[in-house]
Amino acid sequence: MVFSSYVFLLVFLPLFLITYALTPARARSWTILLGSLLFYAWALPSALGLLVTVIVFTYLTGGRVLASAGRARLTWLTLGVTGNLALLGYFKYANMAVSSANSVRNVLGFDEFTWTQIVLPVGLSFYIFHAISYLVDLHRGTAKAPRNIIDFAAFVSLFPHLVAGPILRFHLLADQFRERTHTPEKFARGAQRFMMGLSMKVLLADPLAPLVNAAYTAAHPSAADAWLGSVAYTLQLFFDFAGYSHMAIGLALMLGFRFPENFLDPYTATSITAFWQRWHVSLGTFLREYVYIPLGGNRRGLGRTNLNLFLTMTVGGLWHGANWTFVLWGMWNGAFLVLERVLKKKFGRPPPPAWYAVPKVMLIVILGRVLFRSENVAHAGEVYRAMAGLNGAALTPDVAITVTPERLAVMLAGVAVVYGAPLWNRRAEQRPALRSAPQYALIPVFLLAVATLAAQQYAPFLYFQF
Amino acid sequence: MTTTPPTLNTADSARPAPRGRALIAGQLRDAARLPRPLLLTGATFLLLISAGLIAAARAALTPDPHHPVPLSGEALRSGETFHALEAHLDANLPGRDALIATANTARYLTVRGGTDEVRQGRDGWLFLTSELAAHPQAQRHLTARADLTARLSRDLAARGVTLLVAVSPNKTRVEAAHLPGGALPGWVDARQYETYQAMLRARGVATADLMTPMLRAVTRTPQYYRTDTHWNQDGARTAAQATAQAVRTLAADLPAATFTTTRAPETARPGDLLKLMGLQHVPDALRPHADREATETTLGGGGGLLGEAPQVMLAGSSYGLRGNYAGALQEALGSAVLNVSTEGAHFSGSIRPALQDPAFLDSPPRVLIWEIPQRFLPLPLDSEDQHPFKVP
Repeated sequence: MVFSSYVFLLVFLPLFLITYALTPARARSWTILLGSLLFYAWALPSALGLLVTVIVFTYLTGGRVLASAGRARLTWLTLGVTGNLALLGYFKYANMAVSSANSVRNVLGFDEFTWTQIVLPVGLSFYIFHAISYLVDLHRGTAKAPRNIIDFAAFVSLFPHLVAGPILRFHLLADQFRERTHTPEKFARGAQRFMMGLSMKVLLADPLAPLVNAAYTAAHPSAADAWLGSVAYTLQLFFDFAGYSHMAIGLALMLGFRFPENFLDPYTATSITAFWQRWHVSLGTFLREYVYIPLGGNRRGLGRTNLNLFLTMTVGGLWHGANWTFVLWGMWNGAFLVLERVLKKKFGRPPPPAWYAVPKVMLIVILGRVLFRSENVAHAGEVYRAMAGLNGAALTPDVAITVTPERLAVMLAGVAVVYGAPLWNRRAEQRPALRSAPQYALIPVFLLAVATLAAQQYAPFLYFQF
Repeated sequence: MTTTPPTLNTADSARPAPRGRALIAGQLRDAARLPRPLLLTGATFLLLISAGLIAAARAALTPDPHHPVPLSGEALRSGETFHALEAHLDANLPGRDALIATANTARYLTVRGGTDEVRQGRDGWLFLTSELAAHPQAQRHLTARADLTARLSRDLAARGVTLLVAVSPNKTRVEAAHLPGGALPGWVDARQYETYQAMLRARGVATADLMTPMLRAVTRTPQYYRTDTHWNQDGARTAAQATAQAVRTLAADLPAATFTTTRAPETARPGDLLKLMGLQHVPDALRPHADREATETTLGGGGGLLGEAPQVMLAGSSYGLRGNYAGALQEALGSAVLNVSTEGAHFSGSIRPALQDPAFLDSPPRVLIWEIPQRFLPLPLDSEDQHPFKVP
């Protein structure tokens, strides 16, 4: 089930909210759990077993972590984390590992391994990360143990973040499972966030999909194809994923939970470092706490810090998918993070003006997105060739046919939202009257988005594949 | 002014939480104190999902044989039940047409948007996007179709039937002046129609050239509907006269008959492209204006031998059913034509069943007109067209 569907909006959500409201406070985790399991099972009921296995295994291991001390405590933690990573590794990376091994065997003249492709269960990467954060937080003592397995299961499977994030650290939600408030204001603010997210997804992300697909399936894309397609993808990915995060945060707020923000105007960042502090914040925070710091963080000198940074981004890239393109994308970002750090240390210049820095950052981001979107490394190479103008300049027919005035208008609207909204919000801080206008405007925009669902083909969220 | 309403703890609390009516009344009071924009957005959301739930319940209870919901254990395990339920809900949601019309009208009015299947031209003219697509393998597919057609033509000739191929031209070619930019894009092979005709003639297949007269006629009057893929009555008449001329060269002595054509009062005719844009139920002021037409109907008025089977058969696509093409053809020919055209016939969808039809088997026509829309020619062959025609 996806948030931008009638079955979710008109059936699941109202029924769930009614049931939730009628459930006594002490039993609400049960409602969350059962609702979330139904939500998850909607896509593929057979995948439910894996989710339940992760929950039970992690809860039991977490209990041993809490009950033991010293070396045994670390052993239980290692077992829990390794078990979860093994599941993630098997389902997410086994295909890639076998395929890479077969490539090598081919080169060496050996027969290929026979292998049946494994289907990646939706949301596996996200709930495995939630499980790991639970174990680590218990081990670190940064979170209290949940009251019971139901609270824990509800945390892992909480439907607003189950299949595409944001990635939540257990200690941020543990207390909210014990005690949270429900007010009309929270509900209304949650509704606003949801409305905003759905509008972003349906009205700004989805219309760009055919253009992006055409550009990224062209056999020999031209410069215009590659640049237009990559810029469109940069906008599509933002509105798709930020839209999902808005919806997730809004839904959680309706249930009384406060999720941390996942996007903080990333496309206005003036450095790659700042970009990664604003894009998919929950992943960045997770990687910092559970990968970068365990690797040593910045405590072991500049060289080691840079290596840790680079490795963390590489791991982050690999987490996105079992494809060398993601690994290279992570390295691309890691390299720029390291470069910025080194240059800052060496020259210590004041930050460049925004008119120069923002386009520069966007250029790096867009070039990186080519790796993120391409089917494989060879395909990415073809797109880079096109961007360099080696395949001709003009739009190719298959792409040109998708470039409609509407699509260009959506791209312009997207740019206006990306750069106009932060400016508007800053102004609104000084002039409160400006805060009302977007809220009123949200009503017809949301209704249009809901109507558009009826006229739209099935458009799943991009992040479901990760 | 933002107020901070009292809160409700979900867990045990030292202070007893209000219950029942008191709780609801308290929440309502708190809601009423919300800032107006927040209250309105929250209320809109609540109203929408509440009304949506009622609508969804109605949709779920609507019988729909096209979207059955399987309830077996296997269907539940595989998720088929859920997916089918979702499809059932989407298809039967009350007001779905109105939702589509609202969304598409907004797209059209704000950014001249539409579906990807339709390309908007000048002055409210609409075109099928597929007619503007590039087909790198077109030559191969044209050749395959021409070979298939030549073989059919030979088989039919052996049975005394002459095959006449009449390719209905792409609207984008005939009405190119109304395209954005006023011409076909450079990547579209503008001479494809002529190429295919030449291929057929080189293989000994008789053809009717509809393009030349239509290109001549379009300088005087439009040959296609503005909001529909098909030729209009003027276009159909032009095409019919050209077809009739080609038939006469193959069979000059067809039994004569008289026909009468009547015209109904002029009415609006929203075309299939408006339907593809989801604007068929929208007032004209909010969409490209629908075409208007005084529909013509041609009926046989006696002549010839009573009960004599027509010696000309038309196996065409939806073009054969539009603009009174078949009627105009009979008038131009002065002889009866058996029309077995079918909707959605694509390339061979009408002629394959026609060859097996008892009407064809009992009294084969002297001339079989095979009308084919040009836009299907450069596409890869359908699976059925990988095999030769079966001629009884």
